[in-house]
Amino acid sequence: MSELLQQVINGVSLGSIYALIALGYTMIYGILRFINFAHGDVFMVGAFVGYYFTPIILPLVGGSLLLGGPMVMIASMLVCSLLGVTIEKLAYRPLRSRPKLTILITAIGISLFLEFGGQLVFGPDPKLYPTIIPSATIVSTDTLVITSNPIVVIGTTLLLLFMLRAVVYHTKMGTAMRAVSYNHRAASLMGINIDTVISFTFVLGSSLAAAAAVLYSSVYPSINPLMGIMVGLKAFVAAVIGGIGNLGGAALGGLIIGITETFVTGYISSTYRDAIAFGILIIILIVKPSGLLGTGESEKV
Amino acid sequence: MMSGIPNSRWLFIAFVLISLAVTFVEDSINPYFFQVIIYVGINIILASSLSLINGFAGQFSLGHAGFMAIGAYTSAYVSSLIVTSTDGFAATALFPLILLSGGVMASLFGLLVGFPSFRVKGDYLAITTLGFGEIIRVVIQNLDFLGGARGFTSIPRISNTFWVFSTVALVVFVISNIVRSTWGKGFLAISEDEISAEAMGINSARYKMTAFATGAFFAGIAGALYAHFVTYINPSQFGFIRSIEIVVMVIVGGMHNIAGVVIAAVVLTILPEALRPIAEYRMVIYSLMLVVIMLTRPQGIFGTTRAFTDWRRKLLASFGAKGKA
Amino acid sequence: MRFGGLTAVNDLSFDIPDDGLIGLIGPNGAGKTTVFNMITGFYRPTAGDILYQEQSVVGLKPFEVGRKGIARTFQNIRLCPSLSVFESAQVAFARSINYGFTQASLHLGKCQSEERRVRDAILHILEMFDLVDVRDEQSTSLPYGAQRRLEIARALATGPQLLLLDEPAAGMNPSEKSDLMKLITRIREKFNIAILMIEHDMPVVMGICESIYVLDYGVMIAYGTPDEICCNPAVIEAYLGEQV
Repeated sequence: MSELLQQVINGVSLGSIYALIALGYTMIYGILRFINFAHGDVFMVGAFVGYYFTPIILPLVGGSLLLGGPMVMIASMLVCSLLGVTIEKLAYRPLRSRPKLTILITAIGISLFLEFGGQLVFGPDPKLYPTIIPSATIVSTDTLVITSNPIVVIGTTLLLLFMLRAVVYHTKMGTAMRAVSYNHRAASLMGINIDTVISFTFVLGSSLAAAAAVLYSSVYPSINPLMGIMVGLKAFVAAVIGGIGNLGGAALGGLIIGITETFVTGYISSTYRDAIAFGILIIILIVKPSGLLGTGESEKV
Repeated sequence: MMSGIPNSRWLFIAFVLISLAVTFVEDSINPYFFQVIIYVGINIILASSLSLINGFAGQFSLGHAGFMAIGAYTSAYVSSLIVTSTDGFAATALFPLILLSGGVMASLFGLLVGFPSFRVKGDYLAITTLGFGEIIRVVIQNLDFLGGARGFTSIPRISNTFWVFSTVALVVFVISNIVRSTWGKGFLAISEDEISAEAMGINSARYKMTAFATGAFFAGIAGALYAHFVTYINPSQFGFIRSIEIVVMVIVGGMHNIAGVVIAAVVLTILPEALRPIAEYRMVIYSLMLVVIMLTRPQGIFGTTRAFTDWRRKLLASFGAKGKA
Repeated sequence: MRFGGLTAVNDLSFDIPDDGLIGLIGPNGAGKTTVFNMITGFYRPTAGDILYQEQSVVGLKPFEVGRKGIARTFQNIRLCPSLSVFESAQVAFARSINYGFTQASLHLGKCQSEERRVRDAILHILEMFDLVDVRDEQSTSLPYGAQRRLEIARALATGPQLLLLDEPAAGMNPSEKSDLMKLITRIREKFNIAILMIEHDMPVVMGICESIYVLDYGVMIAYGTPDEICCNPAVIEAYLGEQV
């Protein structure tokens, strides 16, 4: 029983990280209708920013993790926002009116560029991520150990989700985002600056990915330039499962992937871990292509 | 004239004979060059078979390395059962059978992977095929009789210039014939407008399945040729990056241009070898090239065949004019 | 036909004679194109039946309907940008060409004679539509009127018994329109097929159709010869709104 509880907590913790990344995929898809393949690599850059900034930031606050941890996260979010906006401006914006496949291929190109550029800049070998979550054991029985890691991950995710919800539903920019995702032309006729809204979406998505990266690297402290591929793909799958374009769906999908993966690793075999997300994806796409919470769009004849 | 390759059965036969002739002197070729030549051939097979799926049929697939893996592993397993000596007549006589086993198995998986293409399109299909490719890799990793993550060793070395380049000739011949034929126009029709194609009585589901099965068949054979050249295979050789490399060849060559794809496969196989001194920049250059091509020439470096044929027609017309004068 | 809570076409019933030239008119959003989409299998009617040559076509896939001999054009022209005019017409023969996959891929057997037969048939049909000279042009680079003609040529090339034309005159200038009217009449005489035509342009509809159905909010409000329709008060009301 307590082993089950242990697995559930680990699953929810991993799932919240997927959810944060999935939100970026889903928001960008909602607005531009394409899969930002490079999103997983923005996540990777977030991890490396955290890696390089921690030794700079921590001494500034006298080594206090309570103060330094959030600062590292914010620094990483800022850098990744800038990266996301730059990618959109240089690579995606000129192609906005082109066929979707052209943008998809460009996104794959950007993704590869970040991965292999990352290998040049950061070096191809895995690096040990510094500890920035104060480690403590919160519950400890014979069979159940709950450390501070999953609690901090889940707590931070909830906080960020709450903030995102506030931005999307209670600010002018959020309303504009929803309008643009509904209809570009109509929104621009209403005087909404589409470019600004799209840039803002990339800021939100990329900064959530960066936050996820800092959390992820604290739990799984070995980071490398290719780490974003698998995590990114799984998070994308999470977004599709929940119904792409749907914020609640992305969070739900993230949890489903995280929990399933933890259970498969714990009870079946860790070697199948990376295949499970794709298995779920294929089933969902065949059974209900619009995802669990999504509404279908049919092609007009 | 959609394919840009002149239609000639004789060209096909000549190519096969040349590759046969080269086989007799291949021992005298520098082994490193020889390896590059074989890789060029295998990549031409992979890229032109993918161009049927991604280019002509418009079903963007990111799982081609998965089909290659299935062909490689099936053939390796089959030859471990039936080939007892690596040398001599028996191995050569059985090789078509071995290649075919890889092709047929990959083709069956092609049908399976093609199935979601009825329901999902564009980038969704891309990620689904990518997922299939990954699942294939992970499953092979877990199959002990195929060597699991350790890989499959001591595969007999049978592939040579004859086998590889006869297949190259066959795949280019077959695919250019298909897309040139009236029947094959159905591929372009579904890729550009499935709705109007259906209205003209075209069974888009069947065309998609045919594209996946045919493309996968040749990818499987390419995998089999590869396995029987390198003699050792493991699942990580058939990852996602491999699929991307093949996709890049198709994109650079032009989505509707087999001649362009063949040239791209040759150049993009040799280029990394030439760039070997700066190997770590290879993939960075690759990826930047992809982005720059999309931003500047999304139809591929060699463009569509239309540009090709127009150019050829103009050339012929100018000759004609001179003839008359 | 219902979409969610919206009833787009309601309780509609009509017949098309074997060699009739029928017009289907009505204000925007009346459900005309929806009727086409139901006949050709793109939508499945929520209730009711569609009989074609005494057989139901409800539940068939679009390509199956196409193979039964119902061809159509589209309101928003649907041509493939990478195909030439000739190749666009070639697509119409893709299913009827008489050789298999293996023969096509190896270019053996009947291939050559079949390809020649198709080539002649295509040239013949392009000739009729005045498209022969532009056969190597990119299909979407043609002027608008020619694109519409190509769409009709392509539909006709599939060898239909019933041809559905969705606003064939849209975007045409007066001289193109009168050419189109002659063309449609000629098609019908030459091929002896039934034609159902959606059209907003009244002179065109009135000029060539034998009878006209009028649809408004998915309901048929009038039926008759062109003369009967143009003075029918219900039709005038539907188009111009209620008289005050």
